[in-house]
Amino acid sequence: MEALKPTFFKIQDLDPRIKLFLCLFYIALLLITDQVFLPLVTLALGLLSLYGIYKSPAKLFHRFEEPAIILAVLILLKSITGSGEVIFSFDLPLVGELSFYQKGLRDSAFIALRVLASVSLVSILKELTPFHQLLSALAWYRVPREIVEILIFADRFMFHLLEEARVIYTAQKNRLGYVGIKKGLSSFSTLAGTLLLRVFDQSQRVALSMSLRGYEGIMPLSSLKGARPSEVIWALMFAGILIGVSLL
Amino acid sequence: MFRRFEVFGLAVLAPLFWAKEAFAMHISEGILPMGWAVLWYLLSIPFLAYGVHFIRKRAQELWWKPLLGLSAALVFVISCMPIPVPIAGTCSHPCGTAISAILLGPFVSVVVAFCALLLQALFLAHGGLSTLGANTISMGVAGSFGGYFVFKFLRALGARLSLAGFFAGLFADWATYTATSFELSLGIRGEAEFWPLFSKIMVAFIPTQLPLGILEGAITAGVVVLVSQKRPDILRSLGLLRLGEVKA
Repeated sequence: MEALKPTFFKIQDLDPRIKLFLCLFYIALLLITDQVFLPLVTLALGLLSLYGIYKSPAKLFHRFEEPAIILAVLILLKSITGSGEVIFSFDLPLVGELSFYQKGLRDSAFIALRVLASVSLVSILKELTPFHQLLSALAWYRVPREIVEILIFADRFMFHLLEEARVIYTAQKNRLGYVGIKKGLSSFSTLAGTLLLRVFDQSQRVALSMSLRGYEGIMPLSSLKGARPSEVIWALMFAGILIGVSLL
Repeated sequence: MFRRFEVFGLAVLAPLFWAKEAFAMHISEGILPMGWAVLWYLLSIPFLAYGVHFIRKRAQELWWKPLLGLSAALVFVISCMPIPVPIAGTCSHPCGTAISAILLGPFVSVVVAFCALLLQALFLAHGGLSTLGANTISMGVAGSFGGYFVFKFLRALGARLSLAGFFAGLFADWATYTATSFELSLGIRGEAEFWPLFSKIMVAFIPTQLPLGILEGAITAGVVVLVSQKRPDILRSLGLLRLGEVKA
């Protein structure tokens, strides 16, 4: 019974398997629901939480920049291909009359809300869960081990490669690379090709050094402790609340 | 009426004006309804399963998994590097799937693209977890297979490495763009007709994707040529270089 006693924990201390499950379940509910309330509340709470994490409006904005661009195009397209009442229309040279429909605008605004809410959820998951724990959770959910191992290597080396890319890029800029389109393409190809060659060399070196440490083709994963019963109960309650809210 | 149009237009187009970068077309988190998101996941599974099977077959070669992990990291890094897109007046980034498909094979390239897309979704909010299946189909399957077969076909016809590389990159990028437009229009059309929306989405992204395809082609050609000059042994071991084509 001691284990069932309610304990207070921060979200970051939750078992990564539970966090991943809740995040995917939450996104699934956002995709299923046709009510505005759940995505609206999620977005508001998500933005507040992310602001608390990032402590910078610029970082917060940057996180939503890519979805915002796609959404801008999507709202525009849905508004002009919708049906029902026309909000306004005008003539465009070469294109002809362009009409904006109320239903298309309403539908696209709902999709936009859903997208921003989902992005905030994934961002919170990423910020509050160390990547290696997420990978262990993926392995626990029977994601093929090969994919998990590739992700381990990618996570280990991507910032290293990014740093190498920055060094090469700076060196190229200092030698008048990226001046004009032709030169820019040539410089970028050299950069990508050099990185590719380093990838081949590095993989040989990594394999050699790992085999000297006993690597036989299978990477050990950090084992996850069993989830506390209180965490499971909390997750189930939270999922129940989400289902309730999605029906509002 | 005019004021309402102005406010609407500014609200929708604002992200486009703020954006310094136009990103490659990944479908953002939460855009696709549940049914479509699940369907694209299901469609991507056979490709991923065969890719994983192929990786498993070569697992005894100790450098193989580190190479794939580093390749996924490289695709991630390449997608972080901005290149100027002349017509659109913005920066964008190549996908990098053509080069991975040429060097690793199309099925393994699907797995590498899947891993890179997962990293992008978590670290950069490009794409998403619910749209990972759809993005894997467009970037991983359409991009890898498109690029790979064009490269093989042109090489079989006796085309030079640079020419085959160029068209492989070009076709991989445009295949990705067409597949993404297809998925997006199926997912968001609601009651609207499919083909008009599909053509509008294609047209909306032409300013970035058309020149970006050409840039990706040029970069792929540049990378292949650089590798053939610096490390012809790599291409020769992969059977990509004909005997006597480049001096050792």
